[in-house]
Amino acid sequence: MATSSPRIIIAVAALLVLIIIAGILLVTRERAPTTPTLPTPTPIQTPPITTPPTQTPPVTQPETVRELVIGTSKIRVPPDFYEFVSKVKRGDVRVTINFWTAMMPFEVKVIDRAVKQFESEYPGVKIQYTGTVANMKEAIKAGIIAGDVENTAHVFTWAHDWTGEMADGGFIVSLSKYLPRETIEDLRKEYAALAFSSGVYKLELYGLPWAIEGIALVCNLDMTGGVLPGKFSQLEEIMKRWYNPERKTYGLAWQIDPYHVYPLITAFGGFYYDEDRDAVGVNSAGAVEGFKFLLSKVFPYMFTGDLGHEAQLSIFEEGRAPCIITGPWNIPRIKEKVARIAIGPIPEIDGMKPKPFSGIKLLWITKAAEADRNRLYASILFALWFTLNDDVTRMLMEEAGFIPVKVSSLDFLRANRDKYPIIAGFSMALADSTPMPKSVKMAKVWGPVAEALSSMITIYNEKGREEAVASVSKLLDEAQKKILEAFKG
Amino acid sequence: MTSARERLLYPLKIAALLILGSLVVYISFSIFPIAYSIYIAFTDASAKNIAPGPRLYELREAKSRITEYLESRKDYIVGEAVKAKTLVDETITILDELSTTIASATPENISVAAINRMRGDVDGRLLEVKSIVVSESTKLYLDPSIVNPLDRALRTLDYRVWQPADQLLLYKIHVTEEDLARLKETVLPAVDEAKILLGEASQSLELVGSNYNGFIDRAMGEIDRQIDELTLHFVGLENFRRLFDNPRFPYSLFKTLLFVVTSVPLKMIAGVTLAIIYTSPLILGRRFTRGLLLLPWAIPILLSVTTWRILFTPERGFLSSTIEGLLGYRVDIYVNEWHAFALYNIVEVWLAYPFVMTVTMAALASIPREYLEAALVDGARTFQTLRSLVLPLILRPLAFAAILTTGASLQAFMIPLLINNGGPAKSIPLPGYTPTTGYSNEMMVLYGYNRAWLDQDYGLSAATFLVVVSILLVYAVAWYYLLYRRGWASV
Repeated sequence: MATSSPRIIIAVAALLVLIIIAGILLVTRERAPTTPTLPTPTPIQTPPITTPPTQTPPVTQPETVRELVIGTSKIRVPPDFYEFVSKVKRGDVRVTINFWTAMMPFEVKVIDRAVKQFESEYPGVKIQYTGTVANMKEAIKAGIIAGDVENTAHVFTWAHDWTGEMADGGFIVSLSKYLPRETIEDLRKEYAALAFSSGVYKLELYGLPWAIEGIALVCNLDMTGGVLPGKFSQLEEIMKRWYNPERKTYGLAWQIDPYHVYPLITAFGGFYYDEDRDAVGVNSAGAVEGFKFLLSKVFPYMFTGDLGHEAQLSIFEEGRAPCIITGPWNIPRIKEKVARIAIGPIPEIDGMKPKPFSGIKLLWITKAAEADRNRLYASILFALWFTLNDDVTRMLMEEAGFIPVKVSSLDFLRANRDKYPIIAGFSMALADSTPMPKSVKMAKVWGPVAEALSSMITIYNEKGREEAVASVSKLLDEAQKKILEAFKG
Repeated sequence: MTSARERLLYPLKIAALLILGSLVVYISFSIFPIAYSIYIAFTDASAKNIAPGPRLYELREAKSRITEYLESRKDYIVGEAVKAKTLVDETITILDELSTTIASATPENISVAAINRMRGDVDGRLLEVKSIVVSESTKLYLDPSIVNPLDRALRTLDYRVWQPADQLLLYKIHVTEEDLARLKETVLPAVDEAKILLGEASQSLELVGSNYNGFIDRAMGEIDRQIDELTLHFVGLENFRRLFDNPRFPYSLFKTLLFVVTSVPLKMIAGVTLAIIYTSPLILGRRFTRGLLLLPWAIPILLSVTTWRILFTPERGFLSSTIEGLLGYRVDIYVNEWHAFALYNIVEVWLAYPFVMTVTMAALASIPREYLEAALVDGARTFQTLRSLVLPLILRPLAFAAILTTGASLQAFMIPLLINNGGPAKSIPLPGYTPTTGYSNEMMVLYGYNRAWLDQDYGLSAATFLVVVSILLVYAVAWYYLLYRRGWASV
């Protein structure tokens, strides 16, 4: 008996190993397909509003929508949503939602004030706001995959280019499934067309826009003689005047990477990736021309030894270059050092318009909010309120430099252009921009383009302009090939 | 019998519990993650399929019921499709009208109001179409031949018709010839394109009614395609083939080994020399200076490497400009492959000498004083003492330090990442390969990291790390063999 005890232990152990392995395999292979949505959360005081979304789609009952003032806009909403809003306004329903952003402290402060304002307007909704979430996308995905509906974001914000990945994976909620045609029709009129469509993916509305960002030409007026060049020939004159490497002054400061040089590519009709046609255009004629232009017409006036963000920004800050091509995120820093700046579109090249990439900040509702109707509606209400509120937009604009996309705020900005020269400058420069692709495929495009561009820079610095220009086509062909291969694999 | 059982029962229970606990920990924290990461190296893992979201389960559920659902609601769905088709056709007619209006517009007769009215008509209809298509009750959104053209048409209208029209017309008091010319030039082709796309959508909507089974097939196909996109696939050795079918990874291996060959001797020489100097009682305040010398160890690597980068920033860095000023030699870590490589070596030596120095000093302290005194009495010169007495005595700890620090060089990551992300980019030449553009100092660990974080190609990244781990394993086993089997350890 005594001798058999180790055997028993081994047998038990072996059995356990088998059970655990089988368990792990089961868990990782497939979660029960019968429960596609997330676990039911703990019930809250009032029963959730009924009407399941699947069987009776909102489309078939359009006559019952009611008008509601949210923020500073009037939109038509479904009756149960209307009722929910009146309840949270009176505080009859209590619901808590999590709101996540990944922002700088000064931005978080302003957004936090907006959140407080919302809570006082709708006392039934409590918002747990986390301003600086590290690794936000992964954190949200992990929370949703784990089914942790209580501690994951219900509403979050980022630039629109996450849409494809998050929607395809089912991490964000399609608002088209919950808001009827009338609501969407009204919403569409509230935002700039470019901004609104950035939230639409495969016909469905996923995100509501509240700000736009992208790059523009920023000039130090004390160096340009009060001029903001609108044409490249004008800029070239200014660049010539200031370029003097011996005194370490340059014609232009510009962080060089695939994102920042994109306006030159579009000016010549090129593109990297067109998601509408699923086409890669890295070696398109326009892209080749754009890169050649960069090397032959712009680089000769720049400090090409270090084209990184820090080096180029300090060249401008220290008054060693009259202009910089950069985005609103650098403005707070620039304003500390440069007294008089003006902002405008990247200059036209012989009548051709450079269109930079733009990122539109959207508010999304995550799958974690979907299981509970109250929480879902509170999340939608917050997203609507935040994006439809002129006071909030103005506060975000004045105190954190966010460029609005709401039509009424844009009208306000246009009328008060002199009061907000920086915001108005970016706003105008970005009115004609190209929203970044929403598709996940874009992740496979950046790498090869960056390699080709860095290689051009190396050749430019080592062997000179002619050789660099001569290498463009070959390098871009190679990048194109790499991208197409990555798409296939 | 009973007593024997009682005696057994207690330890058996405890043993089983302990085994269970340790097994759970071992499997969940050790075996499973390792096995899983190895498995990833043989898959097509990407950001999309490595951790699929709720959509995958929704799709699987939808798949099991879709045919039945579509068949049971055929009449309703066909009816809705016809409704959508009518709306799309009406939209095309309105767009025709819009084209004519714009084409014939002059600064005198242009009516912004009329264009806006048409826009309202188009938008209203397309929104209706959109809500029919994306509705859960029609499931028309599962048919890509409807969704794709419709989606593109909507975007074409938004970005290339309404937006430029807004910019050119809406806020103008007076519309000029030039505005109109630009409008015609940019907007008219886009309107035509939208019409063609809407035509395609209309045809596909018609097909729903005329060939309903075809629609069911397309919907099923789309669900399968989406499931496939979100599922991890086993691809065998494909990732390893990709790793070696171009010169980038082989070159990265070469560069890593070269880095080991250059940095390890440098680190050892620096560490040992400093240790010998600072054990000498002749140095004043040596405890304090020795403490200072260990500082590189204490500073966070992120900070110190960044500082080194700043010191060597071309033109602006203190050291690069000093070198240029004194020697007239231009140091350019962002352009010259070997300048960057040399800086990696400098930083690596700077980071690692405190370790070598500490180990050496400990070893030196263990040499009995009598030996040194005897050498002195026998008339050995300093160099002789060092070579014939001290070095043999500290060889074993030095060998261990060398082994460990070689491991660190093999895994060089933070230094190349922080200094120039393994750059500069250039055409990578390697015999037997067609040159490919890549980063010339991308050490092997950084290569794997960049494949995951830049390219989101997790499969390739995992394969890279599997190769890295195998190299480290070979290295470790070789040393184990040399030290313990061949008896080096007993020297």
